[in-house]
Amino acid sequence: MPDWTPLVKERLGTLGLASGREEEILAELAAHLDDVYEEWIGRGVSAEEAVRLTLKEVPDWAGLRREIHHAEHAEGDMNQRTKSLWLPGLLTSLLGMGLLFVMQWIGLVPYSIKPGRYVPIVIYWQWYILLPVAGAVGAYCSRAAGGNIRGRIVAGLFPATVLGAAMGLAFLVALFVDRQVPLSLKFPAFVIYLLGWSVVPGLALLLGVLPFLQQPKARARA
Amino acid sequence: MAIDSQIKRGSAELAILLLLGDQPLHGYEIAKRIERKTQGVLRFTVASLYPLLYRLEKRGWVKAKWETIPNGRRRRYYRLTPTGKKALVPLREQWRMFFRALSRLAEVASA
Repeated sequence: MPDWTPLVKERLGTLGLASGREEEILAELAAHLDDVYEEWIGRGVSAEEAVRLTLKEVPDWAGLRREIHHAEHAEGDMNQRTKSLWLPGLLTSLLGMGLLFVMQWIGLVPYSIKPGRYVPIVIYWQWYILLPVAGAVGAYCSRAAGGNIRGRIVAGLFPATVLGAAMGLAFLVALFVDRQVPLSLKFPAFVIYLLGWSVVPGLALLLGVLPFLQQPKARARA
Repeated sequence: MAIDSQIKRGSAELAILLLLGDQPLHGYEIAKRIERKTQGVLRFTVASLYPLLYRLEKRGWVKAKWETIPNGRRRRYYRLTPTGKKALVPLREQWRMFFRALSRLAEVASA
């Protein structure tokens, strides 16, 4: 009887899984081929013909490798992304917006400058001071869920990114919809809003994220 | 008549879960039973069966364990988990509705 495990290993190649899992899959596929081979032998087919018929079970080994790889990674990765990116990002946003809401609710007044005919520059300095906490919480949660450095940064800066994108979209809409206001007023307004609601908050959030870009000491040693 | 691979893939999860609802089976047994019960309409090969089983396992709908069978060989037996049992209920209903709808459509078309 042929030894199917080396044959499967050779044809399937590396799956890129943890070694225990990879060996388990190879053994399982080999066991199945073994059963199919036995079945053909039981039907009175010659050993050589039985091998040929058994190998028909996998017409495309590269395709099977892709399918197994996808099955082993795709859904898990999605869950992992949700845990390490979207949920911490959402938490950072809720916390950031919550802090702003509380500030406005208790009546803290932002610093405001009116530069000539342009829109006023509103500096929520109290919010900026507190924002690193939100960034830190997002990055910490992302790291705790196994997020990589990029994931932690995205999770920590999530509200600033969303606000920045919203500003950009609003600017584009204003460009095409509201044609009465000249671009010389629209563009500075866009820059002022972008700085106040996305860039400066983003920098404040980043301050909170920075300490969580390194692995915890216990893990870093491992 | 050969069934289109997309339809086969969609119904494969249900077929496997239904079988495992009765008793734990290893891959080869799953393939053979499905083939036998569907009179050869559904046929699973190594290439089509295992990615599906690993996906169900990853989802936590089935759980597998190596066991030694009477001839001394080791086979990986799949069992339906409580999560899989829960998932099976709406899945079965969805397919029932789907086939009922198709059947009605076929009746209208042939009338």
